Amino acid sequence: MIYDVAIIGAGASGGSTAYQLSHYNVNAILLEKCCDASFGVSKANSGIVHGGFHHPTTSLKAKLEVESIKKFDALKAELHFPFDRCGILVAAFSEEELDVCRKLFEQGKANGISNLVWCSKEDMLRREPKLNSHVTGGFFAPDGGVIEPYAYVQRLVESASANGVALGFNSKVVKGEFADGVWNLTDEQGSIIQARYVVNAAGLYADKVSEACGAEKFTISPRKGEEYLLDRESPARPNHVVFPVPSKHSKGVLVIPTVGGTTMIGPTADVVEEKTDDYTTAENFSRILKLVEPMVSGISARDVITSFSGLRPVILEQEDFYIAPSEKVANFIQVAGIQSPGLTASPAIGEYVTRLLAEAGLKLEKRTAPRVTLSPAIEARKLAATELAQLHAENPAVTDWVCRCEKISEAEIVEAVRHGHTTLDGVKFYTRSGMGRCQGGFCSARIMRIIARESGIPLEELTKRGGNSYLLAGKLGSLEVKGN
Amino acid sequence: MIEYIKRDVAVIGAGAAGLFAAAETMKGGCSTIVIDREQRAGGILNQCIHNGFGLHCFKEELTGPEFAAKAFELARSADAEFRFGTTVRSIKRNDDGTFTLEMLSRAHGVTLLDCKAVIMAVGCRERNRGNLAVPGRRPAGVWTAGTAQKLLNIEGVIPGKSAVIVGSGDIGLIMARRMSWCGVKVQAVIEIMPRPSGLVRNIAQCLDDFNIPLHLSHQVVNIHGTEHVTGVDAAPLVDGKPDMENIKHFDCDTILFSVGLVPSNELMLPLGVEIDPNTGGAKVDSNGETNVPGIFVAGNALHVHDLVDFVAEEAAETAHAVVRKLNGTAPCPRYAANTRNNLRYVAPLKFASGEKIHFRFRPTITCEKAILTACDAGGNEIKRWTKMFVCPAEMIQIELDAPGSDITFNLEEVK
Amino acid sequence: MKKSLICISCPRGCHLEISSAAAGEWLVSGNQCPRGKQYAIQEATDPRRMLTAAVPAKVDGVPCASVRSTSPLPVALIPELLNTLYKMRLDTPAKRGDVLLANWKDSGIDIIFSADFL
Repeated sequence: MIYDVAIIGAGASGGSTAYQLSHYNVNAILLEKCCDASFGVSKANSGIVHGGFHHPTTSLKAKLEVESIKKFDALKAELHFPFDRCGILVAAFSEEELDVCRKLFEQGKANGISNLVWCSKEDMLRREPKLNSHVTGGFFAPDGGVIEPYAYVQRLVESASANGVALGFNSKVVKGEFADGVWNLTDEQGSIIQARYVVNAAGLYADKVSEACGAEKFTISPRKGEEYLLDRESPARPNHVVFPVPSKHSKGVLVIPTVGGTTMIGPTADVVEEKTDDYTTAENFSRILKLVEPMVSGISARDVITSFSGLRPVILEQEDFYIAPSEKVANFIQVAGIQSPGLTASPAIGEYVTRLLAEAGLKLEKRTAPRVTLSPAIEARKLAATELAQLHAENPAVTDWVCRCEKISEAEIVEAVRHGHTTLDGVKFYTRSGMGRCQGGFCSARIMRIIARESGIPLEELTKRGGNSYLLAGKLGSLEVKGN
Repeated sequence: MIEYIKRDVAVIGAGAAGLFAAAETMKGGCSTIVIDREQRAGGILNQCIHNGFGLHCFKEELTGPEFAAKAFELARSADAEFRFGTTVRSIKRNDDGTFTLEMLSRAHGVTLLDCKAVIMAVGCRERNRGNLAVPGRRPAGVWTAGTAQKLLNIEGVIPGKSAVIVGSGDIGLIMARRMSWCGVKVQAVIEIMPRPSGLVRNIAQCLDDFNIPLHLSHQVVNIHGTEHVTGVDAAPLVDGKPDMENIKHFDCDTILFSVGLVPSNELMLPLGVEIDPNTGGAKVDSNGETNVPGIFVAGNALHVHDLVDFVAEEAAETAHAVVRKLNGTAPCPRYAANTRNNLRYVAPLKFASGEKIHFRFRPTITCEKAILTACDAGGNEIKRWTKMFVCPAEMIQIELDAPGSDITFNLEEVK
Repeated sequence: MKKSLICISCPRGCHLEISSAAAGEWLVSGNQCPRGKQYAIQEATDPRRMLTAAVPAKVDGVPCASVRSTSPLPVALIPELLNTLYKMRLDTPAKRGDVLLANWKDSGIDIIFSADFL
């Protein structure tokens, strides 16, 4: 079969493009080197829908970000991912910072964000009592919010798949050749995927994919961001995303009230050598604490429940997105350097890429078949007793609690597995199970058993996130006991 | 359909504390229902298949499952009622001082339980790698010791082939032996403190027996492995800081964290129960009652014990107080218990005079011999106890005829 | 010859010292109860340990059973016993206390179920 379009990379950009294409009579396939969507760059970001003021008006970043911001309500209504438009506060703690703040505020206005509100010190403290009283002023961006990035991407991909886009997980593209109007993509297993058009949304590896396809040479440099998650009982949790005044390379270290109810502090921004360098360090932990403690009160290292890092795919010397048809090879769209605000901009990125495909000759014809809609995921924790009792009659697993910290029922775990998420992380990202204070200490064994039961994969073969990330070494008795 | 039921006492948790508490409230004539998430009684005891339990309570040395079975039998023979596979989602305090528990289970769906008193016997949870913000990567193969214990002893699967254990708490030590007995090579135990934090006998029978090195005053400074753990780095502590010039690397495919336990207080916080920052558990008086009348706490949910026998004893005492409370005969604890030197906490924090009361402490010092004194509000010594082999790993428990005055406890080493 | 060891008879973990006085006679100090003396002599002459283990089962939903030795076993007998236990695939219901392996290697010690199985 020759697909019309092969999208490489099931992150926010690739997922959004797949979702867009699923509205047309286009045979598309979404290829992903990992075993699940969002397992690359997209899983580990700050989970923020930005406010449209951080990037220069003329940049593609600003254009796509601003276009996207308003789209999340409709997307949430359709795809049912956790998203809360809680608003963003940019806080200045000195007169110099206030000047920078003012510039950002003006830039936001110029970008077309008309509802930004300039705030005095008092306004800031009234809006956000958790702010340190040393705040000198700042502004409020009501359109900004928080989102669960993995759930968002998973739902985009789920919807695309339900509406005709083929999914090819565990498929790492290592070679691409264009001949007679068709791209022949070879993956690591030696499978060949044929498509007329290729979208390179390979995140950190977009440079490798580009090179493997004979397209432009560029370098993706990973810029690492470490994040630390605080317990949901942390007194520091603000009502808004609190931004400092940004630095040259990043939007700074923030305090984020995650949509899941915890509080996150981070991220750092350091260019690293390796694309697999996901180390967190004690130095950066102290650095983050030092930066956020003066911003918001109640932050304590004792409240940390986990930490992680993400790598932003950066094309150095070019701070903007690189989204364009290849000038070297035909029918090849580059979607590279999608660092912040990539997640925010992703709805418009998908549309933009779709337009670029059309301009390159892809025939776009709206699908006439009624769209398959996604039902909202069960969220037993949000249901009242009467609702739960009713639901229990048809699905008894809904009142069988598995993850005690995040209050996730067996029904939700089963639903995740039935949607193809058969790794511990896949289920975690889909349901939030294991994201709470015990970090899966109590529930991992049971979740593994449910995954094994529902998927038919033997317990000993389950992985944390695919590949070689096996959770177990074997059954009891598989190792010989030796004497001393 | 929501099920409605009504009992005098709800005991949350069917581990050692819950089972002993329920047996006693039943004997005291209070209808009691015990609720547990698991499908059977015993709680964490079921995965503690090693021996070392029950010498005080049952006068014989038992394994965890045996202790659980005997404790279950006590509660069952007292006609306590059980709801397994049931989670308490919330507790509401009603205007008349009673409580309504919202319980969820596969079998019954939603159950609303009205009761006059709640005994929180919900145990504790393990601190984990995330709580310590341990640097490094996030590969598969990092577990808490308790989760690994469940995998091995309940699920019958082996987490890895070669392991490093972080923390020398008892669970970590017990797991070092268990892993060795399952054919897993335990490379090392890494402890940040200058002394092991588990019981000495566990160092002897769980590490020394298997020639497992214990690296004291070492801190884990890195975890390696892209997909699966490949190793861990530990640095010796010099003046309290890791000496990064002298890092020891251990190859392994599994890392178990045994870095302390924290009382579970999730159900109590929304009720406004006050927490003692020194224990992480609720502040209670000598009735085991919190600042919220009718909410009682016992066992590891109150403070982390090292012996299940003390958990059981404490829970039984609390149950007696609950019975007296419901009968209107409980004393009113109005005097304060304080600590001065070398004691991390005391429980209870308030007591009634004229009662024989057990006070429980966690020392902060390690020494061969120490003197514990109790002084009244005027600074007069009421009583003193000589304690041998005092260390933070071992809770101290004493009995005192409580005076009609505040008390201050003090622990001093005897050289 | 003087040897110090830690008593494992109970959680107290007394620090014991044992030295041989004459043939077959031992001096033990540091023990707070008679079990400590007994342990020290045992450890010097014939070290033994209680054995507990999980034994694989061949039953849906019940991966293993827990077992124990009826009394401490000679340390040298433990690895082979464990390997034997791990090769089993239990499928017959048993009560707590039922014997799984009687008189292991003529030690006079049984391996019994420490919990009801099935």
